[in-house]
Amino acid sequence: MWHHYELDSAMLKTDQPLTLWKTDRGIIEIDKDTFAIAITQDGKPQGYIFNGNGKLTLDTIIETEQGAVGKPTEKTLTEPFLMLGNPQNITPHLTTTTNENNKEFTTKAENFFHHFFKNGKTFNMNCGCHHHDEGLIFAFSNPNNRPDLLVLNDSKIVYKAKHMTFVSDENRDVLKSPEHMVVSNHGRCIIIKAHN
Amino acid sequence: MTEELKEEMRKLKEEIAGLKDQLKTITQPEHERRGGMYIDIGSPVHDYVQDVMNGVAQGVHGELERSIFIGPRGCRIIRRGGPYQQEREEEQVDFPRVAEAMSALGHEHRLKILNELMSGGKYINELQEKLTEITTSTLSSHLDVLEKAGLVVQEKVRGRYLITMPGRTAYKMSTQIANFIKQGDEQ
Repeated sequence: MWHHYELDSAMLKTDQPLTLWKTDRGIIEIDKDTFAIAITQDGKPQGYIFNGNGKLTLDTIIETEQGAVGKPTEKTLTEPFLMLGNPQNITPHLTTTTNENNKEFTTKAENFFHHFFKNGKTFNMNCGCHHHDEGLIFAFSNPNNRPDLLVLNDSKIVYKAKHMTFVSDENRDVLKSPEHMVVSNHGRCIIIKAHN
Repeated sequence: MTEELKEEMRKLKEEIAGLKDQLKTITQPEHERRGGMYIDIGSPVHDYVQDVMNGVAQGVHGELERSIFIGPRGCRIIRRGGPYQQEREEEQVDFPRVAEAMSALGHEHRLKILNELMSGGKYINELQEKLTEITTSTLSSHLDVLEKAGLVVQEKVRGRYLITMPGRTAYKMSTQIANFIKQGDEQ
């Protein structure tokens, strides 16, 4: 299958605070008046690039028989970030805006879109993904670095940041950080501490 | 024991492979698995996630292979650095950190909190129900001290308090000290 994603030209903003994702492991929230530009496929929104004030909270902690490992991850979202999937719950809460001050965001969003999809505004894709009713992808821009990536599907979580990788599926977890690497299955685990 | 360790290693490798397979189900085309609507996310994202998982799996395998040697005559854990290095590491004690941890342990209520958390993560109201002699505000301040010392960590979403690995070790150590003192008193 070949598809094209495009960045829409219409500038939108949220009419209320929104929770983009929430489970007992993490939550992503954005404030009212957060700017948004739709990512479309065949003219239909498949996701958005947001810019405003928001917050990602993710409990990147693994419970093991020897004690908990890791710390919660909290990230303030003031730079543009991308969300793919679940547009039907977001779209009703977006209104159009014509504020001239949005040009900065438009440029940032375009740059991020290009950076994330690498091949530009319209490009060929031959790789499939879960339907967005079930799966979500978030990408958080990072200056001078690859975007932090959060892939979600039901209870499955993959979070990749500059210094950390966290993979979780119910009671099976992997945490790789500069301090240690932990592989856990229902509390049974192997922990490898970093040698400095 | 060696056979058990080998078996554990084999299981761990299987679990890592399983996790990789599960991740593939996130990024694999849905239509290959079942009917429904789909979106395509693009090979760069797919490759990126695959890279991440491959990196994690290789890292785990690499560390296991560097740390644990399985040979024809059995299995042994490789400790890097000779006795000299170990001695040097022992000398490099972070005294302020140790003092903070010891200070956190130096209160009956905080030891009781750790004791409760030894059986698993708990919400503050669950701790309150178990430790009725501690008021809610005092309990919160004790938990703050324990968290600051790295003996306890709080989940930000659910709010449960969990005892950390250092916390578990510190609690066990404190009970051992208590036992030594008790034995000394009896003698």
